[in-house]
Amino acid sequence: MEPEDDKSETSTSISTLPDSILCHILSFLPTRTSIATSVLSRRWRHLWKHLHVLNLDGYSFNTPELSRDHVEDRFVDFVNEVLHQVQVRRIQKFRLEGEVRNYSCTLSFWIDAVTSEPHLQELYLSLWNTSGSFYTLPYSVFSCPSLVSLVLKGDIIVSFDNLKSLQLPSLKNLDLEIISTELDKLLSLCPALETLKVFIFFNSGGIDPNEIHVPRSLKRLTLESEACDSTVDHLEIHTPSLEYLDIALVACYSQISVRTYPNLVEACLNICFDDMHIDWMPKLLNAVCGTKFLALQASTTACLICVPSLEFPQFCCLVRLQIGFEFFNSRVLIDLLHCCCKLEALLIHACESVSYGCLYGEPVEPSSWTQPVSVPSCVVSHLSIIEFRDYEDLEEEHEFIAYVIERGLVLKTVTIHTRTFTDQEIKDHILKKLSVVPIGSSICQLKLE
Amino acid sequence: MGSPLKKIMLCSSEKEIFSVEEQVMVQHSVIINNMIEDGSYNYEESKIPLDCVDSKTLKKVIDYCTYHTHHHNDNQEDLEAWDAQFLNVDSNGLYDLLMAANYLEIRNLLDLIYRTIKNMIKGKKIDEIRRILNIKDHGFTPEEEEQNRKEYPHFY
Repeated sequence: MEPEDDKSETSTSISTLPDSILCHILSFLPTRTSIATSVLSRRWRHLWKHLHVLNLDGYSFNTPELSRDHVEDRFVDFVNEVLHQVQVRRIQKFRLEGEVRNYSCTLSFWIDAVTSEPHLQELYLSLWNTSGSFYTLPYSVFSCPSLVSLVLKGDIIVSFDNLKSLQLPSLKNLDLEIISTELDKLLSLCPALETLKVFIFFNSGGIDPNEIHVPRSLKRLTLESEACDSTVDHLEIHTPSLEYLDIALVACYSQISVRTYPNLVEACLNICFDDMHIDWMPKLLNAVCGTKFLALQASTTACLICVPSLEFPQFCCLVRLQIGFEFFNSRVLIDLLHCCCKLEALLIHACESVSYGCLYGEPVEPSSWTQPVSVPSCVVSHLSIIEFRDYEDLEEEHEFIAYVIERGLVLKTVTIHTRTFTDQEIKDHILKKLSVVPIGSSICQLKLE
Repeated sequence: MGSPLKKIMLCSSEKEIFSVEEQVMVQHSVIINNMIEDGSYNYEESKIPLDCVDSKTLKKVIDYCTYHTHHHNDNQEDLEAWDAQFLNVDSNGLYDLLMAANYLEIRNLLDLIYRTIKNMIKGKKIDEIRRILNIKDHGFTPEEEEQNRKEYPHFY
């Protein structure tokens, strides 16, 4: 690369860019910083007033010497001034975060102002209230025709008296991590939604989402909830275009309706152990069988193990499987491998940090190694990477690894992670035991970490 | 549309011709995508003249589009590392890339450049930013400059 000095004489430089581009660069900065660029030069003085993106951060007003109320006062003055100076009707992205306790009306006034304009595409609100009360979002948000992305976090409540004249026809992305929401009603307003990320709080005085029907248009779904005793009556995921599914169901879901997802690429299932879940697990597994990547958390595997006479569907496209076990079970794993003819990478977590709700229920009868009747075809022809975490060198674990090393003809790497605090002596012993196993693949590397 | 291995020709300001997989450019450049879609590009004879993009910059732009077409499944970290290396150029190089990306409407490259410039000025003092942006004459009177200094003391 040429030294920078050579170039200083050329006339091209960033500051000769047109205003619109400079403004675009400013829009990546917090608005408070963008405004400070007005002292750079005369040309920059009013540039920020053409911003289409506002990024208003109340926390940037925090200083040790100011009280909470003072910080809030200053922040509110600042936002009022900004909204006075910019062209509100041109705003495309409005992001506001901070603590708002005394000014809910002002806040609603701002939100009404930006959402009533024809250009608003993204609204991001992260509002916190240490005094314990919550902010109810004005309805104007839910009738904004141009809104493409809506992110709500914090002490916000979304509730509806009625849904009349409310709709978000352009909304593609919805991300919710708020104290309370009538989720199903909100979802019914979003006919074009593609990405949905929800964290559900059940126990904070909010309305339980007793039924959840996600929009048909959905492509990506991430659903999580805090652990609790609540029950969701029905979760419906009828989404023919689904590409990505990540569900962590730690509350109890009595019923789940699914379809097959022909476009599914990645599925991550974290289903807590519950009798009701065992009932619908086979259905869910069938629905995701077209995926390329699959992750089953330990509690999910525990549910599967308890399904009476479980038959795995054929995972014809699966190339990467991550599977957790509370107790390693080679029989189930071999059965599953028989159904994954193209599997290239296998990641086993022998006992991962156990999530809520599991560990009950699963029969702790020690399973033991039985020589499989036939070798799963993926082991012979496709499997090239194996990773085993929290390997304890139980007989069954050793036999499984030895079995695949011997029969894996295309294996490239086998990495074994022992538990933390495993003695060097034990590690040496593990490695020694495995090193006498005949290796099926000439390029296979065995690593112990 | 277009089949994966079809090639198109791009012509830089020095009249140097670059042959690129059609798919690579169609995926990234709104302008080229439009040309192909509306049929205004003729595979037999036409080349797309890019009079405001020099060869060095055009080559880089093509590198970017090619890499991102073929590596879009890579993990985010690897892509970011590649992007950072890719944009490790001086501010004039950055300016040229920006103008090219703006002209060809390559949105993710534009975003990447905007972010890079943002990072160049973020958290810096005013003199430093003026130097980076090559602002030689701010045009303020001493009184105005004094006023500015009062208003944004942490900036000076």
